[in-house]
Amino acid sequence: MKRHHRRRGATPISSNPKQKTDETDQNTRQKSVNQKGVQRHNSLALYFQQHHQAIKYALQRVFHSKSASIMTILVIGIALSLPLGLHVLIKNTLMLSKGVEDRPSITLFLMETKTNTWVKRLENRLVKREDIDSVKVIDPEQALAEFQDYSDLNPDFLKLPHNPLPYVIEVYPKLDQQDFSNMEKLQAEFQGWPEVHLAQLDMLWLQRLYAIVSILKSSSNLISALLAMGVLLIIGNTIRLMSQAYSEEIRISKLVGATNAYVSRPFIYSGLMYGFLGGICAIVIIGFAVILINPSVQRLLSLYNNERSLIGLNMSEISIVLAIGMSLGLFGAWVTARNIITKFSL
Amino acid sequence: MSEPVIHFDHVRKRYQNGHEALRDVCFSMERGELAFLTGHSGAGKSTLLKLIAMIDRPSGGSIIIENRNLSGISNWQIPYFRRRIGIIFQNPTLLNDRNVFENVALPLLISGYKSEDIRRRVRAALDQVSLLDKEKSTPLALSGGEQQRVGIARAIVNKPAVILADEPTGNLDPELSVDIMNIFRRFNQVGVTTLVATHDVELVREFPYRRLILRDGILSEAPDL
Ligand SMILES: Nc1ncnc2c1ncn2[C@@H]1O[C@H](COP(=O)(O)OP(=O)(O)O)[C@@H](O)[C@H]1O
Ligand SMILES: [Mg+2]
Repeated sequence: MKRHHRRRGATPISSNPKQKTDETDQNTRQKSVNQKGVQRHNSLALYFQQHHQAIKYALQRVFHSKSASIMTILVIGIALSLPLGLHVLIKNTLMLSKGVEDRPSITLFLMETKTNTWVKRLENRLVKREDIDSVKVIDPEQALAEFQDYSDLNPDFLKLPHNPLPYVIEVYPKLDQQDFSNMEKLQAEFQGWPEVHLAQLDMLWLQRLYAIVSILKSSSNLISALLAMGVLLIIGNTIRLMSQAYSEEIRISKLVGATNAYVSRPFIYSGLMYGFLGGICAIVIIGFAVILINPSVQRLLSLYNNERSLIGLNMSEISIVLAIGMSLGLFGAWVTARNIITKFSL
Repeated sequence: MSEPVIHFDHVRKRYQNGHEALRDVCFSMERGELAFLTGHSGAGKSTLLKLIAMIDRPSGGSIIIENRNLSGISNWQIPYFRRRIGIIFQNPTLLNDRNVFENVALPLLISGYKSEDIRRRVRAALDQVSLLDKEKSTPLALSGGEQQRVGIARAIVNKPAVILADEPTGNLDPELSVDIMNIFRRFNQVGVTTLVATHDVELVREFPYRRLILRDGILSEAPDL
């Protein structure tokens, strides 16, 4: 047997020039098919075809691993909803504080010796100023009466030989002067006047509020940065797991001539989808939170004769959240997919 | 005369662990030539094919495929280069979540062919491996021999200049192996340069083609051809 085959092998059946001449007609037929056959898309059509395909594969992959996808989307949604919620809180705080009838003022306790006409002159001087909206003079009798009205003490106890209270002027600065540093400057100026015994800033409420808001703002930036990192890591991890599930497809595609970009694309689109859906999730969470919290806020505001209610997200905020979600998804998936696929050994 | 499609010039391959898988390999194959690459397991057959397909790069010497020196091809160009080469493995590496048609269409999709051309070419490729009636099947529903033929259809659908087959019949029984070899022979007859790595001695005896023998990374030509 062996011999026979070997001998047959020794004859030049396999010698190629011969074979070629034997098959010339077949060869030329193949060539003509070849020439007519190479119909590629032009570059723009190719671009759209390949991206369309990649989006299709991305959708398949996202929907294929449903529970992992839902987890990822929820985690992204919760992560995005925290800074988003803080933003809504700050926005509402600032908006609602404007309507509250508790205007910041500076109370000037005057020297005891001052007379009525003298006080009138001081009042005029204050009212003429650019930075002051209005003033209110409280004379000592009025102050005593008010004090007696509000006081639970025995009225007899307050029957003093002479009224110990000084003239008081409440100064209300213009709206643009109402922030803390301007108010402090005004207070220092008034305190320097010889006729003023004590200039007292009455903005504790606002002061506290603005301090809280500024803490919220700076912590919101920090929280946003940390959570953005978190979102990137979540997306990177999900894409890494996904690439493990599709490693055979990556391998085969690369073997038949797929570029790294081609193989990465479905993963990058998956990341984009996770980011988008996570953004939607965050918007829904905040929407529900606003609806849930609104009644109690309205009850609180009604105490201040304020009829407003919480404001939710507007269109531009929604677009920004979605854009941030999609950017994080795109970036996280891009870095991960590129990293995995360029290092992928066949 | 016709110039070589595959040309190895003093090619060496040394793996990172220091193992010399190929030592000073020199050979050429002309257009339309079919050759067996034989040798014991671990002789370096797969290594040699991987260097042609640019899955790996040589440690020394030069490889010229279709007049292109592979050292001049940068990493980003490799995918485009690989579209000129059809690769077949011992295990049919098919995607089980796609049907036969989609599996064969993969290289064309990647290269960006139009869908009507893809349809026509995939049908032609499936016809050549006699699987036209199975285009809607999932690979899991096919026999081992049929799966291997789908792999071959995928390797040739791009009309490559070179076909590399690494132990393509390793998992098949003798009759099926002969079938597979006959398919390679048909492509070869239309001008495709084909290199079949195998340690299937029976098969090599059955088909009297040129034989390259690797022994511990050293290549020699079978004397009796
Ligand atoms: N990636 C690798 N790293 C280190 N050694 C390798 C690697 N791939 C193959 N080898 C070694 O190179 C030699 C040749 O391997 P291979 O080309 O696969 O042989 P064959 O295909 O002929 O069985 C073997 O000794 C193998 O262990
Ligand atoms: Mg091998």
